[in-house]
Amino acid sequence: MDPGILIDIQKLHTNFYLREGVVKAVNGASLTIAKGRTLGVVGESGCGKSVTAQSILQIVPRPGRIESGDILLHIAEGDLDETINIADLNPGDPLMRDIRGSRISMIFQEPMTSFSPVHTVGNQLEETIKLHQPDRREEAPARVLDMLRRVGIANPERNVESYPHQLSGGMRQRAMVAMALMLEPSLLIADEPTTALDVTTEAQILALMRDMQSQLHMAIMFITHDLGVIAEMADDVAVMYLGRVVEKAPVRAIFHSPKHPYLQALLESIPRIQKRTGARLKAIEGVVPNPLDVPPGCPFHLRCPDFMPGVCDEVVPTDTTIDEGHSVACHLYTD
Amino acid sequence: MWKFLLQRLLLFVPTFLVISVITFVLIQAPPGDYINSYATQLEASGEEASEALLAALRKRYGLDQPVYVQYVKWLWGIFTRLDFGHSMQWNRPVGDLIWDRLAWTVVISFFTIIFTWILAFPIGIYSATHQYSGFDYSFTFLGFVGAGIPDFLLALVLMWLGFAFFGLDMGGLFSEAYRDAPWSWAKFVDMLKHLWVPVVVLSVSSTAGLIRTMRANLLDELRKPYVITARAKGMTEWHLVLKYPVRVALNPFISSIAYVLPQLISGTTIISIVLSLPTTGPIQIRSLMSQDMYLAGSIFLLLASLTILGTFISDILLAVVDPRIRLE
Repeated sequence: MDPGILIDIQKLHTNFYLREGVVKAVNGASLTIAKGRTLGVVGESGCGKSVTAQSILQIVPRPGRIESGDILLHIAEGDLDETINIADLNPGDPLMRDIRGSRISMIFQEPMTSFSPVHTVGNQLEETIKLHQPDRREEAPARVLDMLRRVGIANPERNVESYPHQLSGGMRQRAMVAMALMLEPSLLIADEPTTALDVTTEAQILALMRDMQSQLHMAIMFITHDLGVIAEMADDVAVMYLGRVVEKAPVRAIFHSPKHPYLQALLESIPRIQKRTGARLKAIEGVVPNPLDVPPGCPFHLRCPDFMPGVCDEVVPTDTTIDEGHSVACHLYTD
Repeated sequence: MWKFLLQRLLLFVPTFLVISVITFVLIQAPPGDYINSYATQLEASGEEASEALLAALRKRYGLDQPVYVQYVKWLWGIFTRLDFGHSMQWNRPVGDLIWDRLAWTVVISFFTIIFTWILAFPIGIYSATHQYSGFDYSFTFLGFVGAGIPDFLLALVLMWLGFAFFGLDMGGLFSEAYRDAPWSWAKFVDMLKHLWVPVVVLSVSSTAGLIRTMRANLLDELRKPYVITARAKGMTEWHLVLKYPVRVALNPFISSIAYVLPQLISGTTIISIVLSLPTTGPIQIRSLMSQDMYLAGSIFLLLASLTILGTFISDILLAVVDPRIRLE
């Protein structure tokens, strides 16, 4: 494996077994996360971006389950150099629990409900240390205070005793970041961490995440549906549609030379202030297909302006390399 | 926290007064009084009840005075001398009749609540964490059956089973030998041998209810994002379920003390008659039938006070468990 790669996901399938049928939430997605870099994962609701993240931590909620594929985690620390296939572990495996919260941690969309309402912030932050470094539990309170200070929480001595409902939304998300970074993980998964915040607070949290990334040299998997946030945060981008990654590229290429018709349509649907008034906002034709009944071939062919009958509705497109680090899964680009 | 407790404590006084008024008015509400039912009794046994005798009795018990005077006198006696009035039917002070019985009511209710919790708590947690499993379905079924069986019927069946198969007399709280004996370890053990019948009978329906409550609350909480947060930290499943969602789901469980207590106390009435237990239940019914108003009023007042006390206890526990209540 390329030593610069931290996470390598290959043909991941994560299914939800419902009474109505099987929902293939992640349907053969492949992507890589480079060490110390930020991968933005973008796509509309239900495209499988959150489930991909949950699969990395093996916390896919029931009745969901990783069906097949690989999630390779590369650990290189001093003499230690090993690769673990997370997809092979059980959710309850002790090794998996070791990885969660210490090597890979996660922050969530709702800073209000993501903390227990009946435990103090300090109690919930110290827990990470107590779980993973039980022999160093005496240091926990001091380290929590230090981390709260680093994420910019004013008066940490008092706020550590607070309950979540006593903090503002922005403060709670800062505390959430502090909790996730307590053990200096090599990957931070951020699942729409600023969606529930107002724009000013959003800008502060994004700045905080970039700042902490430069201090701790961690990789970030940033999940969002907001292309503006992607432009601001990501080094690399993976675009998902209906459980598949349809295009992967460095962030500049995503905005300057988008290849997949879905991504092109997505970028055209962004409202722009400079545009002349009176012009109608472009929307993507049609709706996302029913996840219980995914069409054969390319998942986007029903809505695609460049639909080629006989090809797109029959064969699932594979990744075609366009450029260094830029690949697209679309029949327009296959030879 | 202390302010909250003080507030609750102060609320106790007006609630008590309102209950005492309602109790007194309700007991006076049916036409006639104890003297009327006494007269009917006398006539039934062939004796003549002269107007003069009845008037004298009315005067003696203060029944010729207006209702509010009777009420104020009664309440004054309670507050100043802990004197709950005179039971006309038993011709004894009410206090002599009820303290023992009230204590037994409390003991039985206490054991029942504890027993209910011991059963409902783990079953509720297991049912929620293993939703739609065989175990969950079995207890859902048993729970509905339990809630559906009338408790006096269950009491009769248990007594019959005990008598038919083990030759046991399970009525009352003590065997013949210990009934009038002074307290000893053996008497205590004998009591426990009898106590389980009313405790089980009374627990059945409230256990069924509490299992449903716990299961529903916990199912709601298990879906909350903070559970995923805890899981993403690397906690073991049992550890995180017990620390977070169970703790939050405790709230409604604790507030249930407030409504389980009055349910239990009124439930005990019928069970006590069936199982001949020395609780307030049997004399409560008799006092109502004969319009022995000070006795009936005092029993209702004390039981209502116990209920307020239960609410108070559950308020305190809630404040201890949930910081959101404490800090408001």
